[in-house]
Amino acid sequence: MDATRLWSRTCDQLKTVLNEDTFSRWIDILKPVSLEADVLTLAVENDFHQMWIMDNYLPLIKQAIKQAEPETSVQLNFCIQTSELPLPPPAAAVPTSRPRKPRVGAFKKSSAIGTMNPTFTFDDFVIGPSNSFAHAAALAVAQAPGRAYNPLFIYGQTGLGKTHLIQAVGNRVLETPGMTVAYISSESLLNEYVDALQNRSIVDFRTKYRHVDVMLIDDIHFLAGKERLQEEFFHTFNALFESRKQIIMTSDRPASEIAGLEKRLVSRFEWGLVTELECPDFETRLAILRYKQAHAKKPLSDELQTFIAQNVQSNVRSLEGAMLRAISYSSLTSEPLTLDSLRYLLRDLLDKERQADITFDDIQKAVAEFFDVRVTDLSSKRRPRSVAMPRQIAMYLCRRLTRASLPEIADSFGKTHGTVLHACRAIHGRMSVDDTLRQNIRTVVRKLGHDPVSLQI
Amino acid sequence: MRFTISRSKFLDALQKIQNVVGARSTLQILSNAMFKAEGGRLQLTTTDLDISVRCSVETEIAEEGSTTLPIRRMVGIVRELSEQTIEIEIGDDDIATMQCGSSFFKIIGLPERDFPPVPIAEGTCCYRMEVATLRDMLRKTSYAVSTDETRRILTGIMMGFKDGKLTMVATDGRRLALAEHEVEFAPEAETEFVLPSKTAAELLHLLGDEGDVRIFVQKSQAVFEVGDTTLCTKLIDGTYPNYRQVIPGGCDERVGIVREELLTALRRVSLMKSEKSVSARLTFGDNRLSIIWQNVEVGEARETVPIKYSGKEISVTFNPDYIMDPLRNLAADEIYIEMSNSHSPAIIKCDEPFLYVLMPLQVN
Repeated sequence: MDATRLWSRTCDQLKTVLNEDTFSRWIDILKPVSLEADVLTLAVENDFHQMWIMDNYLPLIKQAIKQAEPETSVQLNFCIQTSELPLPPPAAAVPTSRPRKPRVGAFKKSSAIGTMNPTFTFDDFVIGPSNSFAHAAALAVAQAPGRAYNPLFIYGQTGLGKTHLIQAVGNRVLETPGMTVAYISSESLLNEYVDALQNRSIVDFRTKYRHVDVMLIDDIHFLAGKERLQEEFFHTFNALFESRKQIIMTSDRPASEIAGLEKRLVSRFEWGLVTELECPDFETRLAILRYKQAHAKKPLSDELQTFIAQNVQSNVRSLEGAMLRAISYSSLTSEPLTLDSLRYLLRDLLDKERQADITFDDIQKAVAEFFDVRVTDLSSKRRPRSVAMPRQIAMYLCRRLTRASLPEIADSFGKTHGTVLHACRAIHGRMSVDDTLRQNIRTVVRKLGHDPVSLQI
Repeated sequence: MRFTISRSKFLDALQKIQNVVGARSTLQILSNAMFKAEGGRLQLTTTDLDISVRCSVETEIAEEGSTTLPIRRMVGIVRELSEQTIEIEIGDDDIATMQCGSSFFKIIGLPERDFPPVPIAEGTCCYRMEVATLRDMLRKTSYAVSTDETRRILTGIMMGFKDGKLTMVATDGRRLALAEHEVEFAPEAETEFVLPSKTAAELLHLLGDEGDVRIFVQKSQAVFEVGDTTLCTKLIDGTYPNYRQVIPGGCDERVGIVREELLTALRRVSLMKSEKSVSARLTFGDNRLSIIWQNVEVGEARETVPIKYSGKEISVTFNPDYIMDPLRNLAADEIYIEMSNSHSPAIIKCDEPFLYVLMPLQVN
């Protein structure tokens, strides 16, 4: 059934219920625009007209549609069309089999607030065991915004594809006409908020984000410690959530570990689905390399690819950087790239990667040695001062020198993650007043092969 | 600056301006009132940056000058003083000393130069009408404004000077209140603007029963001048929607009801109100209106009200709050409800130029 026929049958229904005056005043001037994917779009003259109909006549119209078309459940959508413009031809001729094709004209076009990178799509995202869960969740959300998982919280280390994933959702949703997507990083959100405060245009700020269908917020951990923005965001979050709009956030750590984030926000962030992007394994890294250089003129040999994938482990961004360096070297020098020259080419990157490979055991050994306690003391239940302090230092260093999460660190010490968190804070706080402690820690850090100054210890 | 003032006049003036203070605590000066003693008059001004109110009182001035003092505290003190004459002296350090009979107060103020400048009444568009008329029209419409900040334009009251009359309209999407009154003004002075509801509340506080009000309209602000008091307000930007569309052309049936009786009956059934249940069913039968509120959680209430009606039986569901709002603010003894059927809007009218459109609730 097409839009015009469905609407005229609905009108026949409504005529029996409403009196003539009301009908001609509110219903008769609605124009059917399209019927696609079970969504009937009606054109209204202005937003006041739309508001009055939605507030007062929506249940009646829905009921009438149901009677006119009992088999399928048709949803309603309104678009504003000033009467001066000629009406576009009804969408009757368009077969319903291609519902997702964006079209100009009759539809209110989909719109985006904030700039997204159009190349960040699901097709360009290489899936491996480390990110398949996050990818599947994001895909599900993109297909049914507001219904699948709300809110979706994605966290992971830098360069693992958080931004790629949420922008992919945004780009996918934008393909559906009439959808509005807002993509914003917490930092720009803060700037806009400060501007709004200065220009006393808070209401505009609120309306801007409370009327989007999908809200994508990058780097939410930046909200930490910004109390008033958190307050504002809390209300925006609730407004969106209550009207069943999709919210997706990314962060570099789980919500509960973001210090300086209000509890009520943390609990809300954990309300929906929380997924982690982990460091890709070797196979995924290799797959990413293959995918990325599929379009390169001079692809790297398998041997070189394997070398890069084996040695650049921490994040995808460095992986791409290494690959780019290798490819541009061979194309600039026109010499065939050997394993040795590649190793030389990537020497700084490889050094950095190696440093990342400190284990808890290394740290515990180094700390125990320095403070002259036994390694087992560090994970024992005893807590005399002579053991408690080195234990706290070891925990603090585990936190700073490895990428492990609090629970992982806690496990290796046989403690709870709260203890670890407390230790990190205690040492961090004491270091700023106790210079001897700072010197001691620096010595241990140097022993472990790191530069304390660059780590800001 | 130094002056002597009568307590009752002073209190009266302070109370007129005391509501308009800054909501933000960051600008402390906004919680102060500006005092200016000049040419035999004491001028008091408060502002919250959107609205400012100025009131002047005739008084005996020994030394001219200006300062700002905390308004809330001043009202509190002056209200409690016992003697009829207050002597006030304010030094260059903006500290005020007040002597009244046996009472002595020292109040720390802020310098006058930090007080935001207050716009003055000027402009060519001037309208003059009776204070009581404007007050009644505001009363009849202001309750119907929207509280939804996202529909900014509907949070205000539309005031239109057109065709030799003033029309005031407020709507929130489910109901619409409209009041009209004839006002004399030049044909070229026809205009339309949207008054914030906060200003309407403040005007209702200021307007008394007697005298005239003069209205000056400038580009984005309006000034109301009543006797010794001047209120200046920002207006809401934008064009008010076409409200005429909402008013039905004609209705089939007309019911006459005694206002008080309907109001008290509705007030009683409203005791059944709860968060989930906000609607009552009104059945208009032969000279008899029955109101039923069924609340599955609480219980049920029934009322019957005698009416003048002999048409077909009509049963409509309304939010009783929305019927009570206009009833409370009308003065007429008898009101008329016009409607066609249970899905069409109802209109409440009375013998004054007033109209209220109410949409029925759709219950499945």
